Amino acid sequence: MIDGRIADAGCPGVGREADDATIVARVAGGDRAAFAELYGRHSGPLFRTAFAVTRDKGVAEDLLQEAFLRGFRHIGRVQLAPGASLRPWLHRILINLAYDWSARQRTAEAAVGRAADRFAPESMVSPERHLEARESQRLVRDALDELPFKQRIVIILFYLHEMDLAEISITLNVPAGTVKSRLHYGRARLKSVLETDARLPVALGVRYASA
Amino acid sequence: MRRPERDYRDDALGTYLARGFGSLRSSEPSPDVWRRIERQIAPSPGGGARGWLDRWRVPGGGDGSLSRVLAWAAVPSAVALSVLVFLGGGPQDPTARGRPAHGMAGITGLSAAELAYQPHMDGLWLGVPSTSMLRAHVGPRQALLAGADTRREPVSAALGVAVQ
Repeated sequence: MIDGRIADAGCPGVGREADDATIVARVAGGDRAAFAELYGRHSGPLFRTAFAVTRDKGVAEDLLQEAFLRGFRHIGRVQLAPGASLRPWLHRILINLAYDWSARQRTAEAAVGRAADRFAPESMVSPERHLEARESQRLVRDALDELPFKQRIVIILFYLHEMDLAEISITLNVPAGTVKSRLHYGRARLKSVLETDARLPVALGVRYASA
Repeated sequence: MRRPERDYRDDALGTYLARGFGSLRSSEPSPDVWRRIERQIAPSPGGGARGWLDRWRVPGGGDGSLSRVLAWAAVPSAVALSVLVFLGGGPQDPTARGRPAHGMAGITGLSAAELAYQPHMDGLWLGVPSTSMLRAHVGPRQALLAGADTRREPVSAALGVAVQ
């Protein structure tokens, strides 16, 4: 049972039209067109989570597709409180798929070695500011790859989706204290990785050094 | 008093991380993804086996769900199997010693020893040619077959069995 505590959280479509609970009931009754509405509401954020984890648009789309197909197959079991959002449930399916993908990826990387370009020195001087921004995004995502999956996903939900601890707790189905702990250790690890990244001072002008 | 999670967003690391996700915030999946999903969940046009299979895929298990279909199919299957077992078996007589035990061998009227030896039926069930089954079994059972069983023909020599 998904409760209504995070109803409407980060979901602009909910509230103005039929809520998720109504649409879920229609889908469970065999209305496949209603499922398109759920997809329209939730596919964007789910895709962004998958993209943040995988860094590969094709893989992220595959995960998104599989998450929605699994959601469709099991939607009859969902009991959604009126006004509640289906997104945490869908997000959990996607995160489980991303976790499996990440585990397989780690095994493959261990076998063949990490992709050479991931740690190859980038052009150290980047005079244009938009290039700096792109570089900082690359640095953050490289650093994220260094985190264990459970810490990485908390960082993504917290900073990319701007969820609070309670929302992350519901999405991941873990206690809020666990979320807080993963956030704390994830940040500490990120800080350590970013401070030792040779590309950072040039790309950002040492702006991050005091954090 | 500020909450720690607020600090986590506003400090230098938090600001930097939030900015690091910049381009991701506007990314969207391509329309192909929905088309692929739609293809997979759409029911097949018309009937046929495919359409029947699709009706099982009603989310949440509607009236046509696979589990319900299997449950209904299981009942007549169980009844048919029970009848088959009763007709083919019946009570066995431990004292038969290769002879028919009238009144004690169920509808078939076969002795316990005969029931134990049904090469053609074994072959049918296991998908093995009955002659092969026969050859495999014949050695230890030859004496039994040569007994005074008047209710069935001796196994033909054409099947590779030497009948005494």
